[in-house]
Amino acid sequence: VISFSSAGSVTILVVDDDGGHSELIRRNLRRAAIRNPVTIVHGGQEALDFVHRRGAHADRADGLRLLILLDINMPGPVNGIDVLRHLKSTPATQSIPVIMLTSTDDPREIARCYELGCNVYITKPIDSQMFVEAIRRIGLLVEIVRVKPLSTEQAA
Amino acid sequence: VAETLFSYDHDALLGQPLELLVPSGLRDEHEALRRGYSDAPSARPMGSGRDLAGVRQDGAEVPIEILLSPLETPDGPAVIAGIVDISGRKRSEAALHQAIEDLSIANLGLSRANATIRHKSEEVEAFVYIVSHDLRTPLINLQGFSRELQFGCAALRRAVDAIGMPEETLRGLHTILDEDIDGTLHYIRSSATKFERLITALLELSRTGQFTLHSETLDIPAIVAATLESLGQPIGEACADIEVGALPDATGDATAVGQIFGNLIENAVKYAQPGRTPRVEIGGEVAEGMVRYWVRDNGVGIPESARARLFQVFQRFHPNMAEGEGIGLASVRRLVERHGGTVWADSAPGVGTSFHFTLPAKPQEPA
Repeated sequence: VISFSSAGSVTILVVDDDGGHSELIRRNLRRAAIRNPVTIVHGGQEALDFVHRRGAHADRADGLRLLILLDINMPGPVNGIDVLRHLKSTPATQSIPVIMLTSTDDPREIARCYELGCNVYITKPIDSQMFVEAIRRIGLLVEIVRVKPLSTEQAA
Repeated sequence: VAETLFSYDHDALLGQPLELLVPSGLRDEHEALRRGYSDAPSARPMGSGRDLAGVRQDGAEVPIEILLSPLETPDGPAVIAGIVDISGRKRSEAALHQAIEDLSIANLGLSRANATIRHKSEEVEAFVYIVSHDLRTPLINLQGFSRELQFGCAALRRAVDAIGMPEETLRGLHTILDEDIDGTLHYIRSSATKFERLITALLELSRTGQFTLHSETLDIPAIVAATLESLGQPIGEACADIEVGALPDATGDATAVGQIFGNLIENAVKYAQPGRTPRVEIGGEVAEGMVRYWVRDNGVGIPESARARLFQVFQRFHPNMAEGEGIGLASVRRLVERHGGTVWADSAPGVGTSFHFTLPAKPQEPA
């Protein structure tokens, strides 16, 4: 069952250091007929700045509800696991739904995500079907605005 | 005899005190001990518990053993001293000690070399892991964006068809879309897929060397039964005849041993001789603290020339018979060797192949 609600109810935050990967995610969201606003950031620190409205994102709109697509493997001082750990251990952010993105189905990486309280992950390259399935698993489908459901998903 | 041993002339010794033959520092003590012996003579080795030495005429000391026996003579009590030169034995003993010492030095070197090899192989594994992981990032773009182009191509085709162009122009455009673009994309995508399979295979192989093995007593019949169940589809498709014999218990990691049997059984079914019902026999027997298991098939066999490379990574000997990257047997060897076992095969091309591997039979002492 596909439900519709007002556009903009959930903002999708894509966190991926690779510009190509985040562009592919953006396109696949569009192909899945998902019309929620999408924000792309390129590193763990920037993701935390966005979530906490500080730094370059200090003046982003307040009161956004977020869904985070988070790449596990990012270079730099704050990687995906660090971001997840921070989000899940901070009361204000621990209820934000997070879908982890992995570039391998490495059992160790996945186990680490599970330990940190994230049980939904997508293995890249992401396609629209995988994304819709992941949304379904975290129970967010009603919050995601889909203007033109694909026929295959209506049957599912 | 004493002359030879101590290299004196016979005459030079006659009438000399016995202490001439005793190392100079011990002469007084020897004289005292000799008097003590005369008071309570008995047949016994002299100076038991200490290394004795005699002095030759040239002053060199000779290691000796002396056996004393009292003797009654018409001239009164006397003592026979049987003296044996033990320098030969001493030299053998010294050589033995030297050999033992050399051996322990060699052992130390060997265990250092082993540690180095282990360290190197861990390094290589970590390297393989990182490289294959990092290679996936550009690969994902290659796969993702070539798919995007394919979507774009399909959309363009629909748009072109909708315009209603002259037949000839339309055919020309379709050639560009189908051959020039889609045909090209096909090659890019199939190469990317091949690339991905190789990377995945490398990652899997590096994992077989990295995960921790849990050692426990294994119910091998249950492991083989579960493995056969998970291979139900390929076995069913090949109409293979599987015969499971006695399987003694062993010690090892249940998951790893399941993977070993899984790889070998899957190969046995995959590489069947065309026109012959695949038959796979699985069995085992205890031998010298190890259990030897075998997976025997009546398949195509392994060409003689391939034997040396059989367990190497990325080797494929019948690439047209089945999908695969050539890491199955490399993983099997890795896992068997991590259990302290060995794996080998005998094969007759066109007749069949037997794979054998050993696992410890009893729980191993903790290292």
